[in-house]
Amino acid sequence: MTPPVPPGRWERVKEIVADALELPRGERADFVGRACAADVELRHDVETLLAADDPDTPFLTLERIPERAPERLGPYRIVREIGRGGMGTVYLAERDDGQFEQRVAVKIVRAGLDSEAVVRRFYAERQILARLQHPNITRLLDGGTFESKPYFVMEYIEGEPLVAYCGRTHRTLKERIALFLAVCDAVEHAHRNLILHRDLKAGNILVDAAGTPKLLDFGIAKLLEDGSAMEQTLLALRPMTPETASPEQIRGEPLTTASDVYSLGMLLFELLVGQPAYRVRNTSPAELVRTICEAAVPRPSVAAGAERARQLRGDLDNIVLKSLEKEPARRYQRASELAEDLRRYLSGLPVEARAGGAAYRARKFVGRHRKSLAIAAVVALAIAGAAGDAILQGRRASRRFEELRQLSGTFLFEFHDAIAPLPGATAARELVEKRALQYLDSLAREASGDTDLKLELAEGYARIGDAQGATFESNLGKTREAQDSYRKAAALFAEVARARPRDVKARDGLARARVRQATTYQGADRAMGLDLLQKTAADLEAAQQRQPLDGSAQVSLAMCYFGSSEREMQELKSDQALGTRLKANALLAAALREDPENREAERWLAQSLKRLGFLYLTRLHQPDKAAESLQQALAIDRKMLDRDPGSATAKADLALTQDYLSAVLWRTGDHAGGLRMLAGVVEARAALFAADARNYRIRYLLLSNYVVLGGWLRQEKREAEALAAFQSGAKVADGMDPLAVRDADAAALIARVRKEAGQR
Amino acid sequence: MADVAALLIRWQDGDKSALDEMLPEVYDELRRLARIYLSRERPDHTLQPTELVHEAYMRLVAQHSVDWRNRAHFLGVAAQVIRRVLLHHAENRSAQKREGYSNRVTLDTALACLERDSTVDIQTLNRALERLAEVDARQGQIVELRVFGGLTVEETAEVMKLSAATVKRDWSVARLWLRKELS
Repeated sequence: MTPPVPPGRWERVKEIVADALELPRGERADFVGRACAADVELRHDVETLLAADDPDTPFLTLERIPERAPERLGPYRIVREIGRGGMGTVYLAERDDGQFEQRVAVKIVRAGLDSEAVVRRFYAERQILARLQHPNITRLLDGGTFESKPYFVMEYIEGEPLVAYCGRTHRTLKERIALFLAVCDAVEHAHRNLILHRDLKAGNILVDAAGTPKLLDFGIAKLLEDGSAMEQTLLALRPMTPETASPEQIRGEPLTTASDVYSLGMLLFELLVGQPAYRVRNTSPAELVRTICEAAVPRPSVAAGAERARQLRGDLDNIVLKSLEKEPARRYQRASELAEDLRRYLSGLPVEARAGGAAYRARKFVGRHRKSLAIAAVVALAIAGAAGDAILQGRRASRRFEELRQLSGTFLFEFHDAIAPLPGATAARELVEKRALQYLDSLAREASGDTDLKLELAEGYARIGDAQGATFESNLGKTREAQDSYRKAAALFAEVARARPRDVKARDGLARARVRQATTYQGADRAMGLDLLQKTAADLEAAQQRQPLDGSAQVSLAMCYFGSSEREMQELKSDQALGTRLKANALLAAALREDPENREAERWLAQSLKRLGFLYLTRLHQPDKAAESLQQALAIDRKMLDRDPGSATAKADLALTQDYLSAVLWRTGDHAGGLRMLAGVVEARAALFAADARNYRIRYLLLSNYVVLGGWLRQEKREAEALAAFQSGAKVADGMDPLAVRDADAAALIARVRKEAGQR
Repeated sequence: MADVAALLIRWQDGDKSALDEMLPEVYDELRRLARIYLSRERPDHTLQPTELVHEAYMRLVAQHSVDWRNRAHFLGVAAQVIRRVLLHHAENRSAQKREGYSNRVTLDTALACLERDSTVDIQTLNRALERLAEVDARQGQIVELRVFGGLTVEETAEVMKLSAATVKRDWSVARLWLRKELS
């Protein structure tokens, strides 16, 4: 115990120590001597504290990367920081490679903020800017990474915010409207490219030296066609600017182009009146919601001074208020509609906007209807763009149909199955997948009464699902697409099973498609997956009551248990997961005893033993039992690999077991053994990855290995090797587009490995 | 579900009971997030408090509130929760050794890596930190935020309404104090 420090003394000690720490080591003693003068006790306390400063032994070193401005990025020399946003820092930079002189703005992810969500957003903004080419939108010039942090280079606008510019230069009403129309054009251009800006406000529009308004900051913009649920959630959580946020944005409801119209309306209000429609500073959130969602917007002519009132009364009032309707359907649906009305006003034509009243209410339905039509049109355009393949327009000439059927039913899948275990097959499989899916979709439309065809189609969809994203198999990492394919397969199998209750093939196929569908559910949908598995298991168990299941159906049932155990593990019901897991293993072992040639049962037994080991190790904390299961799995893996030494599947299976075993070794204190085994796993997976760079699963596992390896090496104080591991990991992650990764875990790994690799 | 955003405002306004109402909610969210991280095909976990805390903030607060000043307060609360969880974990583990009880709480497991990476024992650190807080409450809180919440100097400054320079000075002195105390 330290003796209690007398009051007041500590403040002195703290000051002197903190000052001393800011000096080079050599100068500290002199400084302390001077600062403490004759106070021996003070000096003693200060020196004791300072003596504890030992740079060689780490202590509470939880420091994250210090913010460090790059000196240059490619041909650009950083001049100074010009802004700091929620996720990035913006620098002014100059191109000085002698080519030509150009000032640019560089936005780079802030150190320490390079989390998965932020990096994702950042890439999204870059992608969005890349899509937009418009004279009134800042241009994206370049992009890259600096110390593993993404950055992009934009046009630098040396300008003044729109409203301030209009005020300073005393723009007339017509001139203000003309500037605003340019902004509308820019927003319309974004909408046409399926992009919502979502943060339109006076501060985000600068007028450059030439008097051209430029729209900037697409930091919280959204791609309309991005269907990823996760992306939507993350975006929904983004902060916004309360002054210009629409009621639906405040309430967290889905946003449409009409939401941007609302923000444009706010901007127009401010331009015409000279001040914003609401002042929302220093209000509580509840008040804010009330104001934006309920309070009536003042009429511009009333809010503006008397001299402007006459100009604003009537059409301009109505145009602004129509843009600011609380209900999105009552507004202009697009920026172009708002612009059109303003142009009509400028030309002296009657405008669309009317003061609210009975006449308006009669048109309300039409307004709503128009909105849904607009959405339908956007969707139709997107589909037409994506599906240009002539095959889809193929008509049902019967010969052509038979050819298609043959191609999709046999050739493509024989080809697919033949290449699946080969190293490097993923790219070819992707092509097969794409083609086959096109064939299948076109055939499915013809299949109404044809049960045989349905069976073929169902099998086809199931196989496609496997290629897209089967858990525990090499796959393309397209979980969502796989889920769709499995769902289609299950629906078709179910139809066949209804038509032919005794068809074992249909029943079996249905079970498998459902099991695989269930394992693709992520996040909040997991419960759905579990339901599906339990339902399927119940069906199979009922069938088992009537007659013993054949080998294939036994494997199906075991796979239901396999999947249920995975789900239960995720739900943290470890004991239940253990029970289900043991049931799966018993069933698989029995199937294998009945027919030692049942390869499927053999492989799934090995996989299930691995997951049993995982469960024992990470949830039940019984490393001995984990080791036992994993050794059994290892024996099967080796047997399978001996039988087929070239098989990438067999190699990947073996690597998974060794991956888990390395963790057992490490956790039981055998650090050297764990590291050695993990290094072997890394080597094996790196080879598999080198041969098959499109294989998402191997890539993900390899990346996670490097992260773990780096962490372990660091703990062993083998810094240089740790760094090398993180850097290798960063290389694996390098081609991975965080936008394309839908798996939060993988995105977090990518962010982490990049951080670690750039840290020292 | 308690509205964490609203509770934060009450807490800011001086209502001490709001903190107690908030803690279980924050704890549950942290645990739920930890579970997601743990449920994957990977036998080892690399979860850092920083990631957890920021993600939890996005979900619990940013979603319900447009007032982003709440962020600082939330980070402070989350750091407290994590400190308690880690302590609890360490205590349980000693109990586990005695009783052969197998502990399966996710957040503990997820954060175990923090403990493994750390060069000091959590319980010892906690005791020293309590003593530091008696000598210098401000330094005690800075250490809590930085070590358990994974906050940067700037974030800590934001939470404590201090300048970054002050936080930096206090942090460097506090580190020395703890180091001396633990040696």
